[in-house]
Amino acid sequence: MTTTEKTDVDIVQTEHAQTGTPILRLDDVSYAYAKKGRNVISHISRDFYSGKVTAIVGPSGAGKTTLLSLISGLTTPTEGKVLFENSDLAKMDRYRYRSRDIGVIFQSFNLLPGLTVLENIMLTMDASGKKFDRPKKEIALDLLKQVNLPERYANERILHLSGGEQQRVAIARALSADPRIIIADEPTGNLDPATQEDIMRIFLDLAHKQNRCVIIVTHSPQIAERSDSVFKLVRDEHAGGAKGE
Amino acid sequence: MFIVRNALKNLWRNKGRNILIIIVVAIISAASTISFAIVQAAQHARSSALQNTQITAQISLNRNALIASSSKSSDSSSDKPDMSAVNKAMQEKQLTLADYQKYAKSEYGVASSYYIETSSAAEVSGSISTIDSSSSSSNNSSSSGSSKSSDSSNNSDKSGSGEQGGKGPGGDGGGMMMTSGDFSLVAFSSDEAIANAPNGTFTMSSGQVFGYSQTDDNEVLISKTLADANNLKVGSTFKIANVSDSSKTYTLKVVGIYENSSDSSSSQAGGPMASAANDSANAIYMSVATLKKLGLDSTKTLTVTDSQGNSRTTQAAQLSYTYVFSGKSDYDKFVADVKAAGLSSDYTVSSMDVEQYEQSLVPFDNLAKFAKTLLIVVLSVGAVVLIILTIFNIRERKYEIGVLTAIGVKKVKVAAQFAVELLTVVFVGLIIGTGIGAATSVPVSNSLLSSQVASQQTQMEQQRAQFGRDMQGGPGSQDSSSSSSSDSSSNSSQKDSKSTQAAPQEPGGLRGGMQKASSMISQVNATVNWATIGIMLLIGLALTLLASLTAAVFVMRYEPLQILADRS
Repeated sequence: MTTTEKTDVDIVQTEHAQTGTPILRLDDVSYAYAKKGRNVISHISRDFYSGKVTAIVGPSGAGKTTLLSLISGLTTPTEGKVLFENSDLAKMDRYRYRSRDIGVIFQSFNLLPGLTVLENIMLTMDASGKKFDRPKKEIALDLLKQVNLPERYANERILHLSGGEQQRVAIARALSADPRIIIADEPTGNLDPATQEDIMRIFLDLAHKQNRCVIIVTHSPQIAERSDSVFKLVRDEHAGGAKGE
Repeated sequence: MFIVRNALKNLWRNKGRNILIIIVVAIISAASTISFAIVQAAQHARSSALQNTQITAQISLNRNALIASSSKSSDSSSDKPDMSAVNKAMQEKQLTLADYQKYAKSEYGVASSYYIETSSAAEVSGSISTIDSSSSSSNNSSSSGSSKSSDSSNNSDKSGSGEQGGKGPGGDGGGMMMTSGDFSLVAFSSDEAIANAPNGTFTMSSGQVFGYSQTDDNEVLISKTLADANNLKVGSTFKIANVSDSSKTYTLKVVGIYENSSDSSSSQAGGPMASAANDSANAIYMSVATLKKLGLDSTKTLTVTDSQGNSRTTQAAQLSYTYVFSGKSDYDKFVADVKAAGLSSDYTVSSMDVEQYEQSLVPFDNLAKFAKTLLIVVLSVGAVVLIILTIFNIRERKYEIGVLTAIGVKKVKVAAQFAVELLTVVFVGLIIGTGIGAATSVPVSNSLLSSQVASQQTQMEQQRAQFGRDMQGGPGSQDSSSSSSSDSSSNSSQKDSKSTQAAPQEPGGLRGGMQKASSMISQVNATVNWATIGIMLLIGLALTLLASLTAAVFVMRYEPLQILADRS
């Protein structure tokens, strides 16, 4: 990252701080898997801002992954709205949203095992349909550097990588299309404390230095502690679903 | 288009499965190519082989239909049809020259037409004597003439059914000829008719062929044998007599002496009843105008008295009218047009050329039928296999589809990616398969055809074993019936040997066709042309489309959330 970019980012950050417009907003969102079924989450409202790391915490079954699916546009809420820059996700081209505006780091990474590290990253860039001012390969190699993955891994198959290495590739892939929102599902779940710290560092940089909105779903109290804000989901037995706090 | 790029990369990533698909597609397309080549060759043989060849056809009375209708209308007490009524009906329904000429129009597709009239005459003592290989005495000529004349009416009936079986112009058998009198008077309408002379082609040994306009001289051609025997030269005149009235004589002038190209006796398949007129050496050739002048053409009648004292009136000459077409399509047009022009269903148009060719195509048609069936089976099996492989492929790569859609690749694009992969693989298989098919279609189809011909021949041999001879129809059976009513034993053996000698050259009937079948089409030129390749491409495209649609249905059904949730 160059210094000029940092300056741009700072300006944007200031703007947001001034206007206080959330990049993403959950507006009274409920979700049930089946029609008239039990609500997995019910009546949740929350704003997410650029430049901030938000941790979503809560016990198992509180609907954390469901919330993540709603935010990433993989599904639409049964009630309420998910607003991205004040437009309803349910009415948007969510494929475009997923490919350009949001980068998702899945719990199981969801990398294509048959492809190399570089191919996986470049596939997302291709899918976004965005034009890049530099060759895609160059950008991908930069991203690897950013997630502290040595360049020799570039042409390695995903299958040959360890969990932590796959995690870094997944982050690099999520960043490749230069999205405004980054979502990570249990990004540090199976990692040793040193790696956890390293990954967390990357997320904080993405938010603070690059002014992205970072949302992390996690069990880990350390991660929650280091985030800018924490969104706690609790099992709400009365409402039949999780509730924000 | 990263979709295409990704698809091509995936081809390499899934080598094993793609090679399998390529092999399957190659087998399908090789089999299809060969089948197509055979079917096309069969169609081509049917449509174009006779397209530019000259076809001759004749209109003849449908005797079977007449007899059938007569037996229906006759009283139920007798099962046999009333033959005299039938004969009478046939006599009445005999087409006249004018009738024939009515149909010989170019708008019906007729390229040209010609006719040959065959009459007979008796010898006149002291003027000319016949060549008689059976050495029968010549002084009973008039009586034999009259007795044979009665025969001729029977014979004319037979000749009709001979024509019905389809008579080639070149090798007309005895059925057509009047087996009466001492000389046969053969009148030709044109040079084309002469070229198709019933006794076979001939060459002039001296003199030249008569003209077709009427002359005072009664110009005729006589055979070299006859000329030598009677010491006649070009310019000589001789006399012949009317078969029913020996006092009526005609003076003819020899303008040319001809020599038959083929064996003079072989083309005449007369039984023992045959008279000297059956010997082709005794055939006197003239123009139809001359015959008309003599009063012996087909419009005139002769009253003859047979040995039982019954007198009958018959046509003085047998008319054989032949239409010539420049191709099969013209012939087909003619068949349809004459029906439309009012030719009643009592008559049939038949062409020996077409029938023989159709006969010879039997094994070929069987092969084409087999090829068609093979094509359908191969294509449907191929389609099923391809779809199954695709379904397995999609299910196996469900996760990949989930990831691609999760990162924002539209389902349509994912489906398109699968289609591109499939198309490429099918295309490679198609090229390999079509190549193999093209290289092997000729030997493979020939070996298939030879087995078909072999089975056809086995069938014929079985028939031969059953009948003790070749299966016969048309003129062949008539010969045997006429020889059964043999009279003089002394010359029967000789004539019999003659008729057996004549047998192989007998035209018409099943037999001629069968022999052709075994000899004619044993090679098939089932080469692969651009049309076949085009069709193969279409097939490949259709197969790909089918499999791609299946893939698309699966892709559309998959929800990324579901897939990824299952995974984690």
